[in-house]
Amino acid sequence: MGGPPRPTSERPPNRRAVLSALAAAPAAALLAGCGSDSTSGGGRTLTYNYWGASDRALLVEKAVRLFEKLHPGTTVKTSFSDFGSYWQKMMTAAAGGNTPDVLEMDYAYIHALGDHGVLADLNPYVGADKQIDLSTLRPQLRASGMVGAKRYAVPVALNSLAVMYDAKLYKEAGAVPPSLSMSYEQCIHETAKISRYTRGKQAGMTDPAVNYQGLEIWLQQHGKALFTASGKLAFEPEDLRTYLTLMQKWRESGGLGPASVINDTLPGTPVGANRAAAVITWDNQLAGFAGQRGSALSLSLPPTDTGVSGVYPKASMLMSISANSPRRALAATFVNFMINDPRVGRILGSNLGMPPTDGQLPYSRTFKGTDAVVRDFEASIASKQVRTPVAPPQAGGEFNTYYGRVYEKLSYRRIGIDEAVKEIFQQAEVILG
Amino acid sequence: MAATTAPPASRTPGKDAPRRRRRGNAAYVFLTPWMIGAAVLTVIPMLVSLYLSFTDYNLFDAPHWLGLQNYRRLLFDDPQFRESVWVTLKYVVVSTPVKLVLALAVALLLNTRRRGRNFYRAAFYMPSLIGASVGAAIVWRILFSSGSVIDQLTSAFGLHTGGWVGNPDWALMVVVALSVWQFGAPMVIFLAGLQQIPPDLYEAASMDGAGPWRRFRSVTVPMLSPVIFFNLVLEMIHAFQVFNSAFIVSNGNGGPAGSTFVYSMYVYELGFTDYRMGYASAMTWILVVVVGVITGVLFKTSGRWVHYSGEVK
Repeated sequence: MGGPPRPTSERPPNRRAVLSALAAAPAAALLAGCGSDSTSGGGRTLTYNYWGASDRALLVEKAVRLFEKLHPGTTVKTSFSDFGSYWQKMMTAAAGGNTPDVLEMDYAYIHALGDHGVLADLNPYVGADKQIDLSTLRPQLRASGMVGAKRYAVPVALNSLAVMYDAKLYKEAGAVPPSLSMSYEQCIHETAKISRYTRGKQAGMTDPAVNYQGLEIWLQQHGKALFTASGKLAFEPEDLRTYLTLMQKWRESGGLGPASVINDTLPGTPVGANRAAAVITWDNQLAGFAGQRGSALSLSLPPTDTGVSGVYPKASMLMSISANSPRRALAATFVNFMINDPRVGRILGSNLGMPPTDGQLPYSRTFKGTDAVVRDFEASIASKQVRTPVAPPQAGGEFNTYYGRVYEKLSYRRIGIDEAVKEIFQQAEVILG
Repeated sequence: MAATTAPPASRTPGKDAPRRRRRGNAAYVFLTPWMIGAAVLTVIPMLVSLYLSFTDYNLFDAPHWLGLQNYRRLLFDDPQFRESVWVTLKYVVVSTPVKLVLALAVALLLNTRRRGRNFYRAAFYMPSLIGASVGAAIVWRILFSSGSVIDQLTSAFGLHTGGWVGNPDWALMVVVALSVWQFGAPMVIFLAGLQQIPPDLYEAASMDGAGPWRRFRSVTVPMLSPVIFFNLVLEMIHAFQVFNSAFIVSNGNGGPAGSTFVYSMYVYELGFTDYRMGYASAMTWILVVVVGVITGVLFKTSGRWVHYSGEVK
């Protein structure tokens, strides 16, 4: 700090900073012309968008404030929305070239944005002497965020699909909760007990087949997959028919409750509204579900007929840097802070998922309440998980919507299984190209 | 504009022509901001979307020309398109007439002289102001869900729907009801129309022994027919574009079992969640053409039942 005092930064700029500042100048002029205040205040400003609810926002903001404290003169402007709106906003922003410097990334969108040059390749920023240190990234997450040799995103948290259930209610009803040692047949039998015990007020479980996650678990339990590496369906009509027949049996047993229960409780969930006693969903959402339900929930693995769990370690959230961000180096420093700083691990708990690096993981020892439940569950399933499948194709979400719509018609008995299988495979051709 | 400010007829027409032209030019100058707005915000985007409808534009890559492929796929190879057309037609055919009849009925009631008339007019118009809001649609959703007031009420009368919004047979009716409830706009237009009918026509009809129904049939309806026609066309076009209410009542998924999956919702989904902008544009243009054709047919047939005052048949 021997040089003359600099008005905008407390540290002397390095070559990269100067270059990025030069690169930023035209953009900054443009932004200033648009009335944006991203260059005001005399400091460096990063924009950071993520998805989630307000409980997550409270935690993320805390971490962001800590980053600002550690990097005086830097301001991080954040914005968050729910998953669906977040992606509408990001995709529109990406098309217009207005993506924020740092954006939360989902497995399903890496292809869509990475292939179109929206995301910066982070390889130049990764290394022991660079901004992002991935040396302690947990082994399950190593490949997450890579597309070929390019690294378009860095995982910030780890989660897994799991069964969330109300242990107390299961016990009261004399029903055995779902677990890996239970067959689908037994699970159908046990969940029906809940529906009988509550006289139909609560279903034993929310129908797991309403989106393709339930199907994916079942396929992976049978050594199959949902999508191939080239983005086509990796299963046969016969597989789908077998699965849908199994689900029909489950629905007819009463264990899943009436089809209308899901529609009725939107935008909430049947478990949150006390209309179902279990659901298959992401384990890091435990606190959210338990909060809505107003009672404790436990975690377990889904039933299986093969002994294989069918669930896999997934990067629940990743972080990417916009390719046209003028402050990519600073953005990389911020990303590194989010994944490596132990204090961030402590602040975020299991809200995003389990910490992604060994730098943060030890702090999970201090987790309490639902965070501790998620931590223990994740530790107990690591050896039972299957390999993480390939990232879904760009139109994967569209296929999921269509699948869900056809399945809903099936569950309302508007169509039969044969028709559903035929429709899903026919449209998959068109949608997945 | 130029016509209304035309000078008195005593001036010679030859002298007026240049001045009129100059005034016309002035009008255009004042209209310029609006015309720029119309061009930039409406006409150009429409033309661009027409072009995109023949391409595979996906927001990121440069559009590739596909010819009629999008249209062919929509019309012959897209079950969701057919479904959304069917749902939308049901919605239009039910909601438009019900809304208009209700609007006319209330307008007739409010057209009488009684105390608190202005209060009632405002009260009945209110839903049109707030009805399009997201908040109202959310309340509506809650009102019609399982175990709600309306569910209990209909159950008491032996109609067990298990909650309207979760029942594929009834969910669209919630959307229809939400639209019908906003009858204020056509009602106000009907009221204005009713007040234009000369009272002496009713007097004459009464003298000839016409009862209330006869007066309504033979005086009110014919005299009001231009207004009815106007409201019909407007509400029909409006109904074809239904989106907000269906989106919120179904929580954005068009369910249950696709029963509220209206045309605009599919366009929205294609464009903004699947990023098939070219395909969504094609779908939009089909709607434009269909609504145009139906409006044209209405205009053609209107000659038979719409009477303009002073018109000789």
